[in-house]
Amino acid sequence: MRRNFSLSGVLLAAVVLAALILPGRSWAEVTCQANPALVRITLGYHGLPVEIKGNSAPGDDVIVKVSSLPEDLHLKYKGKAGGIFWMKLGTLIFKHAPSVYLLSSSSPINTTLSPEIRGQNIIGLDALQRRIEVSAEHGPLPPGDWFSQFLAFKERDKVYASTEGNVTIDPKGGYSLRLDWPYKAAPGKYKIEVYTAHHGMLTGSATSEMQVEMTGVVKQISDMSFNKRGTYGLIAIVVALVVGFAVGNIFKGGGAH
Amino acid sequence: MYMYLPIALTSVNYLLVIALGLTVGLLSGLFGVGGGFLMTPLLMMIGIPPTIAAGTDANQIVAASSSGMFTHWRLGNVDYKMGIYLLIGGFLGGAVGVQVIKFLSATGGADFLIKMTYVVMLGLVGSFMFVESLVAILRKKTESHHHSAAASGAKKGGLMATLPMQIHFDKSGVTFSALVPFALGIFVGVLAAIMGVGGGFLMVPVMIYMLRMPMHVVVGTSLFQILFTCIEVTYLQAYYNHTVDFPLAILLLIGSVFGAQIGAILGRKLHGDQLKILLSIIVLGVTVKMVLELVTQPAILLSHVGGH
Repeated sequence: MRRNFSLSGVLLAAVVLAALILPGRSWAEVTCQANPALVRITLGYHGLPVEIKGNSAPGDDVIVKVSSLPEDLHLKYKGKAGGIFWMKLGTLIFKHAPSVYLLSSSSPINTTLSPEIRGQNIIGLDALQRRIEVSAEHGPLPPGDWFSQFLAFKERDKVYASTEGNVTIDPKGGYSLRLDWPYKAAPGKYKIEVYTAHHGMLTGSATSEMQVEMTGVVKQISDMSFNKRGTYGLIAIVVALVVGFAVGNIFKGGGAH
Repeated sequence: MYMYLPIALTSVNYLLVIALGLTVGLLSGLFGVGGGFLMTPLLMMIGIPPTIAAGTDANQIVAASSSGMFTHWRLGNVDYKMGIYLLIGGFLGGAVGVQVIKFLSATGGADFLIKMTYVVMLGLVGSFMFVESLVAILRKKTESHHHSAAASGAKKGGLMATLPMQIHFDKSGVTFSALVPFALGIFVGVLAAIMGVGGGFLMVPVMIYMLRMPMHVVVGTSLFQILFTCIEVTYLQAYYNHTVDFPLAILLLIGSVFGAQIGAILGRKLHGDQLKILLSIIVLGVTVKMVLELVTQPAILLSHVGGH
């Protein structure tokens, strides 16, 4: 009787402990950190590698999403005019679309998480497609697969991507990702979201931020073009004239026809 | 190898951009055109947004045309009187053209008008120059073509002699009404504004074939007119639209000012008809490319807002 009590007590304790610890373990353990967390745009900037790493439970799959805040993006669309010429016919609005969406994972996300969980957390391009609303600025939406076009447009600039297998998992726990940060990503704040999963269930998540900002001469020129527009225009003209006349003077022997 | 452009918000290989500037500057020095009709599409091809490409191009043309004009001014190849009449007309025509585009943008017909104007004008100018230059070169082998050119010029002069405000343009050696360059300036200005370019490739044929100016004065005078037009455009683009990327312009002008000088030197070695036929081939090449773009389905049907 006492032996039976002791065995059932241990089992009960194990279940209770697992119920308490297992879900909480992953949520508590997951961390993420970008290095560098501040990307400085200098004159020689051409994008740079950003390392994102953190803790995760051993055996868990890891998904890393880096994105900007959703906004309404306006893009011109081309179609056939008069049945002959391809030209811009109007403007489409892509509502709730981030300007940057970079998804990386340790395994194929279709097998890692259910469609419902992916949809709730906007994980994957399918989930993103369901979130983005496409409409025409004037009149009805012209026929066409505009999300695929939008994706191709963004992927060409390397600001949208979904890559499977590029997150490295440490068997002892932890993960790391080397992301080639696209130079076309505009200055601003970007959200890093990390999700861990096991057997199709979310086991944890963590968020962090990274900042992209102009610095030095690049920032000075940008600020001047917006804050001192007249001076900026005059400087651009004067420099062009000085260089033009100076080079013309250097080539004194050069003549014309 | 790379430079970040703070207004275009992109990064470019600066050697490539300098090479682009050199190539277009060479055309500028050789033919007296600003090269906007070539440079803007080339910049778009390397990932510069259309509006920034057009605005910055005007800035680099200021450097290229001032460099070329300086050389021509020293050689006495600028007809200032003619240039000022063309310029006044050009400014007026440009203002009218901007309003036309503004109206059509609101009604949705701007893109069609711009594309069609490009194809028709480039096609007409290129074909006419090509045929005319080819005939002149072939005729020269059998007889002097100067006789026929003079006869043609005299005919034009006869028609224009009936107009008021007759003026003799010493440098160009022609006499006609001041209204002629003024009206032609307006015509080119309207088209240049619609097409978003300086208008050199239109102005040069106008000066050669309609005003019958000598080739060496045409190039210098065209550069004079382009210089002032692009100074105006650069300032307005920088002030109102934030579309002048100064670092990009610097890279382009490093290449273009040297290219313009090399073009001017090369031009000395070529005859006027040879220059014209070369320019016509380039213009026709751009026309063919544009026609192909119009009839071929693009891989991506979306593009940034702004530009052509």
